[in-house]
Amino acid sequence: MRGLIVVPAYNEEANLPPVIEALRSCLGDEQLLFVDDGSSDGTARVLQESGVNWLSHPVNLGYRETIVTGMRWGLEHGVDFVGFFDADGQHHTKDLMRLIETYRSGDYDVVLGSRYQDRNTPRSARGMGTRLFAVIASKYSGVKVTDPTCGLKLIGRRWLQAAVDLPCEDFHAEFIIGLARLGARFAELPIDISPRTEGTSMYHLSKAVLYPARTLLCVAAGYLVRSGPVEH
Amino acid sequence: MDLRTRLVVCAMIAAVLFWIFRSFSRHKLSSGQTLFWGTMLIGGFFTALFPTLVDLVSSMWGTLLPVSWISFIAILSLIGYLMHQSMVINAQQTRLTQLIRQTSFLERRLRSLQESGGSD
Repeated sequence: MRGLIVVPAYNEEANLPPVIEALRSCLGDEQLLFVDDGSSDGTARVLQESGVNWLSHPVNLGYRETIVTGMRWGLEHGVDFVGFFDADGQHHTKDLMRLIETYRSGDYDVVLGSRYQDRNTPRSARGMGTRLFAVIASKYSGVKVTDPTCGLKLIGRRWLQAAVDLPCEDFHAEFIIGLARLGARFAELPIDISPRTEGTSMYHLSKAVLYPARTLLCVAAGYLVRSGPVEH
Repeated sequence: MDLRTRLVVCAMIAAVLFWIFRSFSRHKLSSGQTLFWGTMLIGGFFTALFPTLVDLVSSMWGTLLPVSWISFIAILSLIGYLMHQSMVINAQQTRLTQLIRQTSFLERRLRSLQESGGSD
């Protein structure tokens, strides 16, 4: 079973070297794809010098389009699944390997990481938002989800095209609801997370304010997607 | 509206019309957009030049009806046009995103070809 792990990176020059090293220690270069989303720092240079498999958007397209680029690359190269791993150094490869193992069991189509399955969400605005969208995603997808905003996830090939076609903001709650309604089988595994040491989060104030509204819009649109198996 | 005011309004509309046609000739506006704004402005030009046209319709339909209809149709046309433009802009954005993605794929392919060429 051939998989592809996509690492979307935007201005992650400082965080990338340890992430590249960690991923290379457990996966081959042909199983990795770093996508530089038009970074203005030295992200492209770090990727070039490291010799990993990487793509670069000539301009910044945003997180959603970077994820879609990874999925399209996976579709074009006939991989069996596409996984996503954050470039900010917060994810651990041991959790990624557990997600891959779970997917390989064949019981699930999509495997999600969860930072809050065995611990409480933080008492912050973002934590409250995550909890709210976890409730919404669980209610409308019929899948028990505790962390719909986690960036660590795996999608089986059969569902990649459907995922690309879904109305998605950042492939969070709206993605889970949309695919669940189409019949995808989900698993959620608890993961550990390290604090970001360098750089800034992509969720700045204006995006954080618009995010709930845009996600709810996508949830509504995804909820209206005709249910039924996807033919490929 | 006296003759001087009518002429001033007509001159302003004519100036905007000229700017629209100049923009079209310089490829800053598409033919569809030029046609839309040209029709609107020419309509406004004749209405300003011959306000008796509105008076004529008023005499047939009543005083308030033509003004209400003109406002209603103008607002409806503008909303429709803005919605159409939203679709056009979104379609262009989608095409641009696809183009950028294809560029990144091709750049990756070119890089791997150069690397394999360098090792031969």
